[in-house]
Amino acid sequence: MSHDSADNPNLPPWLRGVPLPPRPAGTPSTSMTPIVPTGEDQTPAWLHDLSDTPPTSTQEPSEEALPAWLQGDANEASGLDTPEALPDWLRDDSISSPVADAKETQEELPSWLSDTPKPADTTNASEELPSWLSDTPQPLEFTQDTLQEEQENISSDIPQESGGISSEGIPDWLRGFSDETESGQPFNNVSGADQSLSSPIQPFDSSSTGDEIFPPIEPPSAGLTSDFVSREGQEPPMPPRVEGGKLGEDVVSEETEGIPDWLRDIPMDEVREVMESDVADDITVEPFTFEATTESSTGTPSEATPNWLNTISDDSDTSTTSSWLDDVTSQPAATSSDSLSDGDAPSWLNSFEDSSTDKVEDNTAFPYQMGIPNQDSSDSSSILNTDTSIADTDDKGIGDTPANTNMANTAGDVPSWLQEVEQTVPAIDSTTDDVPNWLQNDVSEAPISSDAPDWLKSNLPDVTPSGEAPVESTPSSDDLPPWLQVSDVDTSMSEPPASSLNSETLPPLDVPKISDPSDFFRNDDTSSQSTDSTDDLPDWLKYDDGDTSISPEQSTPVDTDTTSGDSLPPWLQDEPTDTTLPEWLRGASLDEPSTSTTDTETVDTSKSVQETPTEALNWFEEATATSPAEDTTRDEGEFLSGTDLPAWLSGSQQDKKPEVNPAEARSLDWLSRLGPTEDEVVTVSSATTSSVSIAPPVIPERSSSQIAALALLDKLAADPFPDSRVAVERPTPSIWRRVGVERVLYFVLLVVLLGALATPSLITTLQIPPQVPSAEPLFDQLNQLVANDVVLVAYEWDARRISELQPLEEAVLGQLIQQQVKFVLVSTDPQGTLLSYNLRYDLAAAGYRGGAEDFVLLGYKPGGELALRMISQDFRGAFTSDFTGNDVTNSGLVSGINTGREITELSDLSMVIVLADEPVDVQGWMEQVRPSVPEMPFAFLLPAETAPIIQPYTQQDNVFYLAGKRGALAYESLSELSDERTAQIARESGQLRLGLLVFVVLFVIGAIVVSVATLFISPKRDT
Amino acid sequence: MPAIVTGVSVILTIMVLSRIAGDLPVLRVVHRVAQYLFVGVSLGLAFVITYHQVVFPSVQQLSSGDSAAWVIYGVPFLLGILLLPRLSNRQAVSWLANIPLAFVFGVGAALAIGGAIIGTLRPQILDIASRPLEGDPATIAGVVVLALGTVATLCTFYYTVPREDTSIGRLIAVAALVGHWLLMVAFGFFFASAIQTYMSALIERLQFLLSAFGIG
Repeated sequence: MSHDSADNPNLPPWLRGVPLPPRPAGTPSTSMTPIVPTGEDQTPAWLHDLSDTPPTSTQEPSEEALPAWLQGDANEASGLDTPEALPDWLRDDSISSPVADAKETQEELPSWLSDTPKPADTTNASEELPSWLSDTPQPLEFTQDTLQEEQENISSDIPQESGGISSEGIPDWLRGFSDETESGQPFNNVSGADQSLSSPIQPFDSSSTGDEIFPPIEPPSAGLTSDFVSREGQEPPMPPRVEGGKLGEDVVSEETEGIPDWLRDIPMDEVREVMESDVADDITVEPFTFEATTESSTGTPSEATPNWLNTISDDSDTSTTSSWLDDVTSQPAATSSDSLSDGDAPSWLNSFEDSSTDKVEDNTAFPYQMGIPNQDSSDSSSILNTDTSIADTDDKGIGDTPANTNMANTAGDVPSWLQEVEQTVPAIDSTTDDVPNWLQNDVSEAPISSDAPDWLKSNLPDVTPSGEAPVESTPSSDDLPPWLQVSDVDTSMSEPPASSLNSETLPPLDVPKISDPSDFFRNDDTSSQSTDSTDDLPDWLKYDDGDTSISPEQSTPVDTDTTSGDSLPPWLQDEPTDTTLPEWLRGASLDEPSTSTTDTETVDTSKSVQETPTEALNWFEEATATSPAEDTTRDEGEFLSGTDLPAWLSGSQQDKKPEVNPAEARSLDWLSRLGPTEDEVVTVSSATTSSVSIAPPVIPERSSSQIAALALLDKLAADPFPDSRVAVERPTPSIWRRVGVERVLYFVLLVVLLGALATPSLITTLQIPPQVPSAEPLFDQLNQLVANDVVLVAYEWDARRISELQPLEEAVLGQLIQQQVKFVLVSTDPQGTLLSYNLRYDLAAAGYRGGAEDFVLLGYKPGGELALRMISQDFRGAFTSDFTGNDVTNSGLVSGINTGREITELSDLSMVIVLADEPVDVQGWMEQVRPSVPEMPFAFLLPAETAPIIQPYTQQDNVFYLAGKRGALAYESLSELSDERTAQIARESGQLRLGLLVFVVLFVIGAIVVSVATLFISPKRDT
Repeated sequence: MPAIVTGVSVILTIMVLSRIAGDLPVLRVVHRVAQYLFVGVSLGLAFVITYHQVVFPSVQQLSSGDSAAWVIYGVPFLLGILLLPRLSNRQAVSWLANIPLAFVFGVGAALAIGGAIIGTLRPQILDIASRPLEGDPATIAGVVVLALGTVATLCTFYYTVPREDTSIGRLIAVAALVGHWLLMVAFGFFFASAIQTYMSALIERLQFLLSAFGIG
């Protein structure tokens, strides 16, 4: 089977370029016959063809909007009974349907309709109603996604099956309505619907002419009429004739059931549970217009309606109304008219929009919600706004009509042709509940509204006042399939959820009232008893309203003119969330106000709000799934999807199909509980999967070093302070180690020295006077001094060196004392001064006189080198007083009375003897004093430690030195001493030698021991 | 009295020699007491000597009213007074102590430099230079060794010349090595002289002890 619409001559030109969905397997292939030459690209072909096609009759311009076959019918004025003028299906329908019994009706019904389970009470209704009307749940199924499949069937199958006249009078998109049914019967049904589509054109046009906002669009509406309609105008199909009384009974009887077939399969408990859960969820968004329609059509309270229907009423508030709805509201007629004029939207969609005005007017029916294709949003809110706009329009045009109320109910809710039929039913009031308007017009010969097809107008007496024309013509549209208009009628007949009509003007629906789902169906009965003309419609129509309100025809195209820059109207281009919708609904985004439009995002962002539109869809899908005749439903879906929608709608549907909104998908859950279709399940699951299939966060792998670092950190965190290590008690060292070699050596040396001192005889071999080379020159120099010489003796030593200097002192000074040399004692060291004081006793003992006669104890001269410098520079200035402060300037020593030589300068002295213990002392004297008296002999009595250091000074002339005890002994030994003193000096020399010998021996022993210990013992310990 | 003096001297001597037994806790106190006593006595002696030999005579001269004494002792006295602000940490007045200190250091440096040049360098240089290479061979060898040893020792402290790059460097390196060993010999000589000094002191103290106890 070829689905190429471009090769299919049977398709309208505007459908040819549209890729059609695959044809169902069970649908026989049909050859498409070209109906209309290819139109322009931007505008649907059917619009161009209609516009280009001159009116086939000389009727009013409003008639031009009608399909040709309708117009022809009107021109011929042959009435509805004219069999030639009517398509076969109309004729069959008009004739047979009223008289057909139930069985025949069942036989005439297409398979998909016959398969539909019907309630027992609706048997009569099915008999009275045309076959296509008898199946109440079918419209619901149309609203399902199966419409798309039906659309395909229509596009492909109709030409094959429509070999008769009836098929010719039916648009192609209607031909495939039921491909599996009998050749004529399905087309009767469909043609009836088709006529219903064509009929509302005039009312719309008439209404628009009378309104400022709605310009007269009859000519353009005629032009907008699809080609097949215009062609069929030559053979005006008759709407399905149904005996109004029977129809009303049927409606009543069916209302007693109240539940469509597709709902009957669903256990009420389950439905109630779902509904209640939705209500409990406080779902407020109402994406679809048919929700109210459903409510009204079924006449049931909102309890039985899904939440999304209930929430429509809530969303009718201005807060939930989107801007785009407001825009539509503000410019309802203009928009619709513009859209019509622009040709972006089918005229029948506009007619729906207009037709809803009647509903708004009476606030009881709001077919406009269902017939707001120009709202395109497929959202109930948009439709509501449109209702508002239409309500405004009604105030101007429609409201002024005399039969405003009744006609609004009839003409607005029902296609004009239906209204005519409705009025023609005598047994039923024009506002009867059970009879559709079109039946009423037909029976009671009610004034034919402008919505009615021409063939109706021509056949029926024009009872309608002139003022009613705009009212009736308002909802008319050429492009709208009649079944959709019927849906409008149904919605108008039902109790209008006025709150849902417009958020601004109408209060929101009382959602809590919809607590009981069963009431949804019970109210259907009550609504059917209402005096509203919409109640005349059978329940199936009411259901149909509810169902068809979802239909894309009603909800799709109106805003196209405002934003369309391409062939597709913008409202079709912006359909991000249509993927969850059936294809035929994707063109009309139900939740568009809540999703696509952000400027007036009054819709609650709560989850329930987002779920609402999709829930509504699922609600339908559920019905489809639960429908007993799935095959027929599928065909119908194809029919609707392929035929009702123009090519640009189909294309948009296909384009938007892959887009899935997870939020909407989730919102379909409540439908899945009721048994969604398999496709929807797939869609939902895919959306859910896409939303859920979030890759788990990849845990970074840690390297070994990082793990080690983490372990270390954990360890440190657990035990920041490591346990104090128990001090390992070292083993007690041996006594030898504790005493040490040094101490042993010390004791050995001590013992040896003590032994040598205690027993000097042990070291007699060592008791030899030492030989010191420097002692003899010194001795010679001192030996030259006589009693008149004055020797300056400087005590620059301290008690630490007493062991050496004292012997030297005693040796040198002892010699001088023996020679009665005069002394001038001076010191720059405090301790030397003290030691010098001790010499007084020796001098006194030697017969020296004090008081600066034989010696002068100058005492301490502070300033170190400065004092030495002063002594050398101004010896007389320093030589003024002794250590006690007595003036010595006039003493005998200074005056030279005893010496014969006055001492005024340093050079007046005979010699300088310095007892120094530090090299500094020698340096001071040699640097500060000696330069002043270079020829004066200097003798330095030094410790042995200092002697090597002052060697450079001692190498000079007249500089003598004697160091250490050994030097003292050597010096002393030079003199003529007593034997005792000589023996004493020998012992002391022996002790000194023994001490040095022992020291050297112990030093060597100690070095050996330490070396051995270092070489052999320590390495072992280390290892 | 002499016995007391000898006894105190013996005790103090033994306390000092207790150090031979090591740094034992008990003996540590003993020998440290002797050390502290020695230091104290020395300072006391220095204070007494300073007071009697420096302060008192100066003040006595100043109090005498002699004009010359005012000049001679007045200036040092003022300089000494300026040292007192250093006792306080107040920088505002402590800087006054810098005046006498500068004076002392200046004069001491001048005396040291002048005395070193005149009393140390010149005589030593003249001594070495004036030594004639005459006499016995040992004396001549001694003069040569002394001269070479002095140069080698100075080369030891000559660090600014690369030791291996040039011939002069290598020569200096060899001389430095010889001078290093000459320094070791000199240090050994110094150490031996010190050993004689300390051995003399030990023997003198032991002799004192023995004599104090009537031994020997």
